[in-house]
Amino acid sequence: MEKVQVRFPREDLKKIEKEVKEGKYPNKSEAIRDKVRKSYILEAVVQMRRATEGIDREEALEKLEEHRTEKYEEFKESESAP
Amino acid sequence: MKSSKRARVLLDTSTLFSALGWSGAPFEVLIKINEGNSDLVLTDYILDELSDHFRDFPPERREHALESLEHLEEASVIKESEWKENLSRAEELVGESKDAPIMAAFLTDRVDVLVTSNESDFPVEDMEDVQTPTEFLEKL
Repeated sequence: MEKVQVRFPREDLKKIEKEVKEGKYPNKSEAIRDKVRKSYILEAVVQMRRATEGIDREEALEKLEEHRTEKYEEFKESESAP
Repeated sequence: MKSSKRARVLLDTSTLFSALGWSGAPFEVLIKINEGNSDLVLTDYILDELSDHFRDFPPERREHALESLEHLEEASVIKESEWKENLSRAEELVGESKDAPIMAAFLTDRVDVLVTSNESDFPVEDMEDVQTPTEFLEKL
């Protein structure tokens, strides 16, 4: 892991220190690492919502299942290829 | 039930896609995992399935969708070299179906709970380990 120096607003730091004190995290570094990891999941949602905006979920899921079947067949073919 | 300190939760492909793309129970599951004492687990195969699915998307939408998947690489990803060991056993359980690679990942020791909207597609000994999004939320 690499070490970086980051400046935090006092209020944010207080919140993180509180979570460490409450035992949610072993230390401030782990708390910040966890929050960064979680932010990636939220960003994944934001990007996917842009991709699916206005698309009907049921239709999209049905199409996904078709693609999954095709992919599995290709996977099995590649497995059995010499 | 499989057990570990933090529950390691595998979302099947359609649950993951639904969670990312629309509101509803799968999305709530993803948020709860992100907020709580659980870890999201995915597989390289699931990410590939989604990536393949996006090939039909218009370019701009596809770009967003692929960017979404890039962010998911921060989750714990089970590689083919790990789940493939269980593929034969998985195929005995679910047949030679598109769900076999997901079942194979579930059979590794890196997953505690599988969340799927199609529980009957994943017949396992301990059905407590396979939950619908609604069941997962109720059990929290």
